[in-house]
Amino acid sequence: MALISIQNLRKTYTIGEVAVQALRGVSLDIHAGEFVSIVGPSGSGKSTFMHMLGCLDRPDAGSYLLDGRDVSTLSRDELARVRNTMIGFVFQSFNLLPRTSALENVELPTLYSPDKLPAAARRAKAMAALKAVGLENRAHHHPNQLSGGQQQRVAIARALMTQPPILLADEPTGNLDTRTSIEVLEIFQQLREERGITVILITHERDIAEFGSRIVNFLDGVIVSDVANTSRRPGGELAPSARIA
Amino acid sequence: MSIAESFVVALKALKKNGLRSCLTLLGITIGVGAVLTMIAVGNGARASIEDQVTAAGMNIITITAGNYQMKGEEQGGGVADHQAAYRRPRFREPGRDVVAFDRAAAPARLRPARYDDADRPAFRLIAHPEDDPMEKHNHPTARERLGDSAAGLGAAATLTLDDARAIRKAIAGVQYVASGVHESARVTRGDRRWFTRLHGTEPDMPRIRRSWSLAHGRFFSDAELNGSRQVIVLGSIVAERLFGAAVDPVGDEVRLWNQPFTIVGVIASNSWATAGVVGDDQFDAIYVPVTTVQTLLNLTKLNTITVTSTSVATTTRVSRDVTKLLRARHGIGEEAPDDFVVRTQASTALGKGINPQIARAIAGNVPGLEQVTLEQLSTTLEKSSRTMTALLASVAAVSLLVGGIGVMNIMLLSVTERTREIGLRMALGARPRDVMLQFLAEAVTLSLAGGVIGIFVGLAASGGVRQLLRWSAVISPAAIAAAIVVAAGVGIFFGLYPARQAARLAPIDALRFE
Repeated sequence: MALISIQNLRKTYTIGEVAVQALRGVSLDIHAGEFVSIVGPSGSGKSTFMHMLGCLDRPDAGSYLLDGRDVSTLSRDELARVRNTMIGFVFQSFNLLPRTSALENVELPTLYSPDKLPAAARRAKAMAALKAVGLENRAHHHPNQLSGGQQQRVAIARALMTQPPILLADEPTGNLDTRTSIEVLEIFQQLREERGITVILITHERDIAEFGSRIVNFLDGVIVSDVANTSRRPGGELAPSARIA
Repeated sequence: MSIAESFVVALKALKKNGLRSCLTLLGITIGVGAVLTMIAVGNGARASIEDQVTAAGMNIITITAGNYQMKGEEQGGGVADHQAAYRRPRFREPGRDVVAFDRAAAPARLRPARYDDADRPAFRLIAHPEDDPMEKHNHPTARERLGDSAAGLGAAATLTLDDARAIRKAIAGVQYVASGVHESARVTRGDRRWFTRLHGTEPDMPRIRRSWSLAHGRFFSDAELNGSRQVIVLGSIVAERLFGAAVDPVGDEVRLWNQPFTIVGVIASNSWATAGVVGDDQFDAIYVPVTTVQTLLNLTKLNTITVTSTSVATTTRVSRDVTKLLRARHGIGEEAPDDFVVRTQASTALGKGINPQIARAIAGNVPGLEQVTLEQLSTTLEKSSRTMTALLASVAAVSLLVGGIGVMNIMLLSVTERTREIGLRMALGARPRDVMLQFLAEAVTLSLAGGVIGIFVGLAASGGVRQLLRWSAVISPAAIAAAIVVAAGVGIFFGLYPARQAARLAPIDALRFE
C-alpha cells in the first residue's frame, strides 16, 4: 500500500471576488522510500498541493490517505500530531526562530511530541541531529551567525528530530547558492538511501528536480506528467543551466 | 507541552524582548505596589484612629465614690452617701453650712419613704467620714494633712480595695483596674517644695494612661504595693521643680507628710500634644502606692477606681456590669440610688455643653444612650476609615487595570509579530492549546513577575509611610498572597484574548504571514 494516496484533490481559494482553483482534481500515490520532485511554474498549484500533503491546509474535496488514514477528517489537534510525528518540514526561508540557538531550534519539535522526553534527553537528541548534518560545533550559534546553507542544515536537523517517515521540502534551495544547494540535496538523497525516508521536494527548477527518483509536473492545478527519473545525477554535478542559476 | 515547559518557553521569549518585558511588567508592579501600599496605609490609619480613641481614654471607666452629683437642691435628688451615713459618726465643720446626713439619727420627717420624694429636705455631704483625724487618727501626718483644707473633703467613702479586687476578678472584658486615693500634698526636697496632687494608685496605672512614658526609672511594682512601701513616682513637672530639668532623680529621696519617700521613676508625656503643664493633675502630680497612702493616713476607703475595658465596643457593657456588681456588694436595694458614680468618656461627652441635670436625666432615662453613642462612634470611625481604605485601594486598582491593559497590548503586539513563529510551531506539531498555553504563560509570567516586584515596592513604600507618618502601615501575609493571586489573575484575564487569537490562527495562514 502506498504511504500517501491522494484521490481527486480539489482546493479553491477566494481572493477578493475572484475564485482561484488552485487544485482541480489531483490524484497521486507516493510509496515509502521514494524521492519525488514536484515541479511547476508559480501558480501551478504545487505549493497548495504541498500544504495539503503537509496537513497545513484542508482540501475542499477529494481524499488524502496518509499511511492508510484519512487525514481530511482529522481535528486540529490530531492534525498537529500527524505533522509532529509523520512529516518533517524544510522551508525555503529556513524558518528558524531568531535569537535562539541552533540547538534550541532543533529541539523545538520534541517539545510538542507525544512521547515526553526529559530535557536532557531532548538536548542529547538535538545534538546528535546537528552532528548528522555536520553542525555540532555550531550548536550554540544563533541563526544570524550562520550561513544560509548552515541554517538550512539546522532546519533539516530539526525536521528529522521526531524521526518522521516523510520529509517535505518546499523550495529548500530557493535561498541558497548552487554549491550549498547541492549539499542540501545530497543530504536528502543520503537520508533516503540510509534511513529510507520518503522525500517530497517542491521546486520550480528542473535541475533541482532532477535529484528526485520521480518527477511530477504540475500545471494549472493538475498533474501533467508523472515520470520516473532514471537520469538521476550523482551528487556534485549540476546541469550548466543550474550553474548559471 | 506541559505547563512547566510553557513557562520555560515563555521566559525565553520574554528575555528576547528584555526591555519591552520590563516596561510591561512595570505597569503591573506599579499597580500591585500601589494597591498594597494603599491598603496598608488605610489599615494603618484605621489602627491609628483606634489607637487615638483608646489613648483618649474611650475605654476608661471611672468609678467615683459617693453620688454627690445628687445635690439636695435638685428635684428628685437624694443624699449621696446614705450607706456611709448609717455607720459613720457625724462630722461637722463649724461655721460651714454643711452636714453629713445620718439617716438613723435624722428626725422622722426628714426620713423619706422614697428617695425621689419631692419634698425631701436638702442635704449635702461635704466630708469624708474618715476625715476627722482629730478624733480617730493619731498618725503624725494626719494633723498636717488636716491643715490642708482641700484634702479629702467632699469624698464619700464607699469604695474599698475589695471592690477593686472584685471588679478585677468578676467582670469579663476588664483590662486593667487601678484603685485611687487622691489628695493634695506638699512634697519637699531639702528647701525646695512643691504643692501638687498626690495620687495613691496601683501599678496598672501607666498601662491605663496611654499617653504616659517613663522618662526615668520605672513605675512602682506589685511587691511595693503589697508591702505599702514608701516609694514615689514623680510627674515630670514635679521632678523639674524639685530637681531641675534633665536630672535623673531616681534613687533620690523626697519628703511627703514628713515621711521619706524613695523616688523610683519619673513619668512624662509621650506626645507633645499632651505635654505636662503646671496644674495638669497628671504630670504635675506624684504617684504613691495606694496602700502606702491608706496606711499613712489611716484610710480604708478609696476615692476612685479606674477600670479599662479590653475594647471600646465593650466599655458600656463593662460599666453596666461594674454598676451591678458594686450595687450588690454595697447592698443597695432596687429603689435606692447608687452610692457611687460610674463615668465613661461617652457619658461625660454626652453631658458636655448641656445642663448637667438634663444630661443626667437623659443618660439615666435612656438606658441604651451611652451604648448607642459609643458603638456609633466606634462603628462610624471604623466605617469611615474602611471607606477611605476602599477609596485609596480603588484608585490604586485603576493603575493595576492600566497595567493589565498594558500586558494585553504587548501580548497582542507579540502575537502579531510572531505570527510566523506560531505558524512554524504549528507546522512542527504544536496544537492550538500548546500555542495558547505558551502565550498565556508569557502574560502570566509578565504580570506575576510584576506582581512580585510590586510586593517589594509595596513593602518599601509602606515602610516609608511608617517612617514618615508613624502609622502602623503593615502589609499582612494575606495581602501578599492576595496580591500574587490578583497579579496572576490579571495575567490570565488580559492574556486570554491574545492567546486565543494566536491559537485560532490557521497554520498555513500563520506560516505565510508577511
